[in-house]
Amino acid sequence: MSAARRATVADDDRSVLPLVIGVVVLVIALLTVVTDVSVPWLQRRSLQATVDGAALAGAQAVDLPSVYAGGAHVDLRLDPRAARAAVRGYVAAVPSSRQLASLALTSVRVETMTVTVRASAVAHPPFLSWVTGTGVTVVAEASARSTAG
Amino acid sequence: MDDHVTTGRLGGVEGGVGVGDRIQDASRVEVFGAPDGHRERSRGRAAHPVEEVACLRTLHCGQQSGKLLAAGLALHVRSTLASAAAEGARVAAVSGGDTAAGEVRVRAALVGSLADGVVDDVVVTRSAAGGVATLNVLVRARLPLVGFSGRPPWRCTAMRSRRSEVRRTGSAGSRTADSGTADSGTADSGTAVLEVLVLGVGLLVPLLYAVVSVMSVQSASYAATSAAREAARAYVTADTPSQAPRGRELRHGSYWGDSGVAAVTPAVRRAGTCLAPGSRVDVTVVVAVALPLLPGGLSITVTGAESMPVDRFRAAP
Repeated sequence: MSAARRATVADDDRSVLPLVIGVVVLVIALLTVVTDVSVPWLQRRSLQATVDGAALAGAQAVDLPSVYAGGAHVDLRLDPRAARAAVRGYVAAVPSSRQLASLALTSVRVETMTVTVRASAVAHPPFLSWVTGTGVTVVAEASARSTAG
Repeated sequence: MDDHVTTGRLGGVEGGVGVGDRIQDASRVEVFGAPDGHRERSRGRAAHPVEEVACLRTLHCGQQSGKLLAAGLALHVRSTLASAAAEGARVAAVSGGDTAAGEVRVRAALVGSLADGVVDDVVVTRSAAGGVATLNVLVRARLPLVGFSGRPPWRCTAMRSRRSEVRRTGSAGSRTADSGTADSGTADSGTAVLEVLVLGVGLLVPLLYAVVSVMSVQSASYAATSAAREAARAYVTADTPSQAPRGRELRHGSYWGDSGVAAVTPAVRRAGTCLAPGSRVDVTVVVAVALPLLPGGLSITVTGAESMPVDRFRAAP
């Protein structure tokens, strides 16, 4: 067996190790990325669900005095102050909001019959937060409308 | 990767090797790859069993690793798509069966989570499941994978350039004896087997386990939060608490969607005061994800907790 031949064979032997190490690094990177992507995703969905509920709760705050004065079919509208209070109260009370870090209502808009709630929270992807010390801001918006009848 | 490109590149690497040899190489490589009918033909190969064994083993190892990566990525993409589809279906359902709204939500949810252009199409259809008007969301996506088909460019290129070196050595040097080839073949397969065993069992198998575990937990947490939310929604829209979904329906209902979570028993707890107008329903779905290959042993608990306000002006149950 020639020297060149032996060298080639040895070359082939060694070649498995870098490949495996490379794959190990890649798989660990994959797991890191998947975990880090999943956490903001879940947080965003949770925030979305919270905001959906808050908008629904806000849309229940019909201006009752005007209904009682004028009847349900004329000028049904929300009471902006009560609607905002309902949104805030819901967000403060709901259990899922406790799992959302830095939850903040960025805007609560009340139109005639529609409540639009916008909120943000900070998700902390485990590996990214560990490296950079910061989180990812997730934002969700929902609107709900009351209809009479 | 296109066959012609591969062959052209191979020719560039090999230089003086004849056309017939090139085709032979390509066909050997493809035996372990995607079994394309016309490429799977294997020709008589008396020469070079040594390099072939080592190369194929490397290739095989690489291919398994590539599949591991690809499978992990595929599972992640699948969970994300299923979750986005559930969200789209929900939005379409609560906005009065607006299929366009559902599609918009699916696409909006996936922005920033998956690469652009991955999602091929989103189809929102209506149907009736058990007398209940249902919205179905189907998301089709191409998996953004390298070499899922078993024909990734980098492994093949690496192997072929190695083979071409051997050939050049062979044609320039004095290698002739078949007995020498047989000897080195034995020695080589011994160490390579050991290496593949140690590395494969020591590293790749634990990694595979980690990938499968992480993906099951991810899939279960997506499904648990989704199920909690849908259950809360179904509960507040039910006329009476008895019509609301119970644990049994939750276990194999449409709440889990296409999440791949099958063998789980969600325990559902409800707070709230039985659908009193203006109250709130909290649903907590607890899923124990059994880790693979550990029957009756370790499991990871995943919790999904969501709430919904009960309509203030609804009829009291």
